[in-house]
Amino acid sequence: MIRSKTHWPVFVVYSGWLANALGSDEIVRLSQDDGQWVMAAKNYANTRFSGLDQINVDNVKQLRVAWTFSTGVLNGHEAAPLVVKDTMYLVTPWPNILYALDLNQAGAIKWVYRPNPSRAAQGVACCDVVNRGAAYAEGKIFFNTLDNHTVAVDAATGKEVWKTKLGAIAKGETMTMAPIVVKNKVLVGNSGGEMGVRGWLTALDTRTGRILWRAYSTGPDKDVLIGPDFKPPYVSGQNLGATTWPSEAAWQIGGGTVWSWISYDPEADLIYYGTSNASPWNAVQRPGDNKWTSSVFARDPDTGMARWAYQWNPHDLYDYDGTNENVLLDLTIAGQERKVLVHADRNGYMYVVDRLTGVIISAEPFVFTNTVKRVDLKTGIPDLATEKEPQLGKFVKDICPAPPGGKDWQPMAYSPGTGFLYVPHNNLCFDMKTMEVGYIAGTPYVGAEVAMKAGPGGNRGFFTAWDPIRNRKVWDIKEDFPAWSGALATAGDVVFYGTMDRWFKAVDAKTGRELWKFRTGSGVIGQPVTYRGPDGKQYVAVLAGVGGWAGAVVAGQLDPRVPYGALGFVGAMKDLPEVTGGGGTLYVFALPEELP
Amino acid sequence: MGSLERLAWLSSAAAVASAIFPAFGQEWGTRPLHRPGAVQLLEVPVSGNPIVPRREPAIQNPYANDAGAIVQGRKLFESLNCSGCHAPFGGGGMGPPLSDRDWTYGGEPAAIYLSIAQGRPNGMPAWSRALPPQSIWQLVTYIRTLGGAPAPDAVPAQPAPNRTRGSQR
Repeated sequence: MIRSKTHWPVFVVYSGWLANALGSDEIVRLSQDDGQWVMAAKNYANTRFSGLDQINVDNVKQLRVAWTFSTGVLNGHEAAPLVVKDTMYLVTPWPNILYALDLNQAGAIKWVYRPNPSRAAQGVACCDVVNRGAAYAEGKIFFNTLDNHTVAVDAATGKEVWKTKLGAIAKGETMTMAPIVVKNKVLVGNSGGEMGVRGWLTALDTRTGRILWRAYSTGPDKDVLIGPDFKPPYVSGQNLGATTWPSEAAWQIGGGTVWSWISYDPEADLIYYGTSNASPWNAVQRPGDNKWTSSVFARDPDTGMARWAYQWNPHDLYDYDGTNENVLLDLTIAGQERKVLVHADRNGYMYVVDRLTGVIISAEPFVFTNTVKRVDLKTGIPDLATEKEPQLGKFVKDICPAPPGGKDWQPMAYSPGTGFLYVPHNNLCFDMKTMEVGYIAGTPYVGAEVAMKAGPGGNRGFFTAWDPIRNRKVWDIKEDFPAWSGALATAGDVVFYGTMDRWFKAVDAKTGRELWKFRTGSGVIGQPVTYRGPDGKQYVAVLAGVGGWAGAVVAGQLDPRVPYGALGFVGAMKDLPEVTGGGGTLYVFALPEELP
Repeated sequence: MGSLERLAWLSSAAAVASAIFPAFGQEWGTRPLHRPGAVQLLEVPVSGNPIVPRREPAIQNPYANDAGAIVQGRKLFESLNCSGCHAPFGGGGMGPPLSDRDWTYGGEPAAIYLSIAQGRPNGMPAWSRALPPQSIWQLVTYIRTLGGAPAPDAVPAQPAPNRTRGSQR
């Protein structure tokens, strides 16, 4: 794990204790090699921090394009490029093409793998046809297709090793998340919280693609993989995934999908991930807490059995998915060494949680919110503002944050150098009217009319530096549009992110001062990465190509005059088509030859 | 999807449609209903560029401009979750917008009818076994009021736009 500010140079020394995590030690070693980038979040702790410092605050202004690559796809590019030795791997949005590019030859194509996913899958993907990236292990590249296949491809040859079908588009399921590999298992989950999909996380054998276990987010304990070792910090009782719903029929179509990030602590041997909103959005149809939607699980990767769980948003009212990343840090808090996970929830609160027990250490708002007044640290229950509760058939106005939350999927980074988290996020509010909705398999199961708008101040996004020990913002940068890209932190004290209005930016990790920016062809919603090329130089790479939920008005060519489009996101984004078109292009940057 | 699975899905969708909208299938319009014949439907051009000039008049929506059908069509649009994909007022989302003038598979009433009945490859479900023709025509009637009709054939619910989309999904 990455250590806090004063300890971080020590972490490499600690890699010895990781050897007990069979099969994962190779991945830990690879993820600590800053020459490579072998999983979307860089490492198991999800810090997106690179020790490379060739590019630094003094010379970053001279950064220039080394080479580019067009993916040939127009939809939203949310993926992180992978770098393994001298090859870069890119997975595109549907049709999920996997490219291998030669870093010895400025990105010449080595091979192309086309999984040919079903066309119809596009019609059940809630929020554009995105893919968030691939994972490397054991000589193979693993990724998911929109039509619910996990694929293993030989990293050297591009030949398919195995392909396993995991879900059904006829039920509204898709797969968009980047897998991670833990102990010879590929971990993947489904998407479809807007389609009444029942969420799950599944482990596949890296060698064969055989399904080893599947943990549902809802239903009885045997389906959720809850046994005697399950010790949730704030609740007790059996089969809560069923008893907190009005009926079996309700939890069968109740959401809790697993479409975002997974972290892994090799020492505790636990994986951590969040579950989506409850279905339908209209909460009146599902009285109860609706466990374990909008929650975080800690599980044993070998068996899938849950160790603890905590529900960020019981009986979710506003599509507040709990899927945002959990960054694993070892911090000194109030004089005590704490093993924590840090999570910026859609509800606008930044949680610091003891990752061994699930007990909340702190929860402070990082963006304007009028839905959750505070989080009770004794009970773990968020205290809701009743005046913003949705009403059937009537618009409730100016609810903040909007369904994409104070922050959505866009992953934050952590620098052990500064001790700050770098959080790309939203500043959105919305009006909401709920209504009864019927479940028809393969169609949306929402029951709400939503129109989003900018939050206080009028800027729709922020890029915020946050101190997780002092629980406060250090600095922020206002962004006109939601900051929908990932963040990248480096030992050069330069932090990178992209914007939907076509800028890729480098800012000072300490102060937030803008150091450099580059005008991309399309808006940036991808995850920037950095690596050391075969020539020994540091490179920074990012995919441009606007889209995703926030950019659906461009990617889907929606009608900007109707605010309810894209589940209400169009209301806040009607001017996006005036500043960017679509189009997937990889940009790779480096310092000029004479530098450094 | 196998054919058995597909049948099961369709019958369950029909059952759900009946359950959530019990009176669907009834006729609300004031005019007699014309069910388009199979031969007529086969001749509805999707390309917009028929090689053989048509002499026969295009298939007419039996409910064109019928206020009752617009109301019923809107109810169906919501209760069958059309609004979930295409958004309230047809702004688009998971499915393309219906409120602009760009129609991937044709914006004439018969073409919209076929898109609903047969489904389309990028994810539009096929509703022909779940819905009777009159319900599909009611949906067509409502959709034609959303602003995308080349020439309005019903009282518009929204101002008619001029916007077209650049490419097709």
